[in-house]
Order: sequence, then structure tokens, then C-alpha cells
Amino acid sequence: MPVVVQDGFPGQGAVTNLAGVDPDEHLGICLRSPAVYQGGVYRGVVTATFGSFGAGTNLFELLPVAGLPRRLALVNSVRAAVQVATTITTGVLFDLGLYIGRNTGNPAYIGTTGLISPPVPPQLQLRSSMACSTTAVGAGISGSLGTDDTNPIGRVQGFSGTAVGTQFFSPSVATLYSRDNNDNYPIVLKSGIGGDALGIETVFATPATGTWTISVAVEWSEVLAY
Amino acid sequence: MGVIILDGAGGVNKANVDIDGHLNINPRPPAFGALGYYRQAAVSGSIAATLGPSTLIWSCRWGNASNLCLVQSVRVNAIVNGTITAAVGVQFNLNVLRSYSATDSGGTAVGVPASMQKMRTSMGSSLMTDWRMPTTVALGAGTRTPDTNPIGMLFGASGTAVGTTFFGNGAPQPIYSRDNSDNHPIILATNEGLAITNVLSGPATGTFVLLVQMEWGEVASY
Repeated sequence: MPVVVQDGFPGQGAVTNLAGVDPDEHLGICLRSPAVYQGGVYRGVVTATFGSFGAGTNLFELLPVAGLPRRLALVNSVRAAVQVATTITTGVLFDLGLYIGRNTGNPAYIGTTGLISPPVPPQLQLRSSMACSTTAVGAGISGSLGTDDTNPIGRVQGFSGTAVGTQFFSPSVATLYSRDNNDNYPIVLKSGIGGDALGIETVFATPATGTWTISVAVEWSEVLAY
Repeated sequence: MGVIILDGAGGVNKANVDIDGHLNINPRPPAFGALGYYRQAAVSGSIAATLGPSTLIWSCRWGNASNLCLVQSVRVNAIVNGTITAAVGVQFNLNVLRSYSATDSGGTAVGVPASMQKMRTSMGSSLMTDWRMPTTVALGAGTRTPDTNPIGMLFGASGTAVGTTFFGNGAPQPIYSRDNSDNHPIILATNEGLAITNVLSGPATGTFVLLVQMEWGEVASY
């Protein structure tokens, strides 16, 4: 039997079936992202250059800031690339871990090195009519990032190399998280105090000499409910 | 019967149909109720590369009697962290384990820590019974029955230099992943599990670190 997506009001005159069913009675569908209401869908790249760090250092953070109608941030993908910026004397193992931090404190924009979102509207929206992001996305955001889970939800393994331009990962852009299919549950971060944050951390101590540049590409949406 | 999508009050059509008559939908995963969806990446210690053939290097056990574990993907990587003198070929196999009566042994029982690894904080803690990584040597197999043939495998090479990845990629590689949204996932029922086996003899020297990353759901029914 056909699907009826009805136009009009039952019992109040003629109604029209709006659904397109092909000759084999297959309902035509179009996949959409979750409703953004007054939020939006965003994508950005953070780039920062660092030097010697210890293990467990936050390199990148995504922190939803409180405020209706953006109660949730839905993360679709996180990818990272790292390369030698100035000569490193001795190459070292270089892993990155993607962690969810829970029960965040005051989600202020504390320490904003490389911050790309906000505060420069209107940018990063995948459609200009979308609202400006209210998520802090950047490198070196510190403080109030909550308590990390014991284990990361994604990890990549690499090696620093020594010469300028050497890529730490092969291929150069490593995927820390990406939904495999469109019915996979996304990472859902709650905004505000007591909410969640997403961070990329060093797993080992970084090279003792030289500097390296990290770029993180992230796509997320800000929604009222999911 | 036809399907009519209306709101209750005024009988207004709630479904959005585009100008070509295509119904707009947003796909969702199977319902999880008070359970949830999870993702975890865990690493081994420095495994002596001199592993024998057919050695167990990762496993998980689902022992819950009331719910199901829907495995979305299992990804694996390994990286040399102690120089290997002569490179060898590497093959990892993924097998389904059935009829567990004793959990595997050895290594580190990583488990899934309570209230963690959830894709959304409001989800329940994982009910996974065991998730186990090696420390320096292979794991010990418990009492369970692996399927005769694997359901996934990866081919690679150990390489020699520190920092070399076995499968040529910094990101863990899928030894299992649903190709499409409507592919049936691996469903683990009570006392079933998964295991990764190192199939070939390891190199004579050196060490490596194994990374296993899994995404799964826990649901009452499917």
C-alpha cells in the first residue's frame, strides 16, 4: 500500500498525497542532517605551531558554550595533520588521542590561541543563513574542560621525523573520528556548565627540539535537541 | 494501510516533502533506551615482536543476558616502538567467539570504565564484560569457540624503524566496518565476543604497540 504524506486537514476537503512513489512503489527519500533550528552546521580548520610538550597536553579543544537554542553540539568528524615546522633533532613517536571531557566547569573562552570559532561571524557556516557558532573551537583553550574519559574514543599513531616538512602521519591527514554511516550515533556534546568538551591530546612527550605545526579539521552542528 | 504523518492537534502534515516528492528523513541508529552507543581506543604495552603464529592479541566478551551488543566497527593499527632487525609480513584476523564460559586471561583487562566512552553523557554505562589488551606477550584464550574462519583480516608488514606502522596508515584500519547503513551489524548475544589473532610468526627482534578501536551499541533488541 502506498505511503501518504498528506497535505491539508483530514475531513476538511480534498487532500493531496505529497510523497513521490516510483512505479515499483519505492518511496523517494532525501537524507538530511538533524534539524538545526536556530543553530547551524559548521566546519573549520585550526592551525597552530608548538614545541616541546609533555604527554597528555591539550592541543585542540571543542567546547560548546551554554545558551539556547544551542543545547547540543553534534560532532561529525575530527581529522588532524602534523608536520615539522623547524628542524627536530631526534624523531620521536607521536600519537594523538581524542578524548571526551565530561562535567565541564565554566565554559568561558579561556586561553584562546588559534581560536577560530567564535568570535568572527559570519564564518564557518555551511550555509550563510545559519546562525553564528557558539562553540569554542581552537588550540590552547584551557581550563574548565571537565574530566576526560579514561580511554580516548579515537587515536592515531605516528612519528615526528626531523626535517622541515616531514609529515607525522601517513597519509598526512589522519582521521581521529568520523561517522562510518549516516545512522551511526554522532558524538553528542552538551553545552554549558556540567556539559561536555572534546579534546585532542598528546600521548607521548613531543620532540625536545624544533617546532611542529598541527592542523585540525572538524565538522559539527549545533542543535536544540537530538 | 497507508502511512499518514500528521500532528495530533490540527491534523497538519508533519513530514517535509521536497519539490520532487522526496520525503526528507534523518537516519538514526537502533533504539537504545537506557543503554547507549560507545567508542573506545586502547593500546597494548610494548609487545615483543617475537610472537608465535596464531596468537591472541585482543578480545572482548559480551556476557549480558538481557541485551545485545551491536558492533559497528573494529579498527586496528600497530607501530614499531623498538627497532626490528628484519621486517616480516603481518596478518591479523578477526573472529567471532561463541559460547564463552571463561574469560580470556593475561594482559590488561581494560574493560569499559563506568560512565565513560559514551557517545553522549546521558547514556548508561557500558555493559561490556571484558575488553583485553596485551602487555608484552600474547593473551591467553579462555573457554569459548571461535568460528572456523575469520570475518575480517588485515595484511601488512612490520617494517623495521621506530615509527613504522604495520598497515601503512597512522589511523587504525578497519578489520570490520559496516559498508552501508543497512548492512546488518555484528550482533553479540550472551557470552559471545570478538578476537583478533596474529596469524604469522613475528619478527625475531624488536617491539611494537597495538591499537584497537571499536564502536558499538548496546540495545535491548534488534
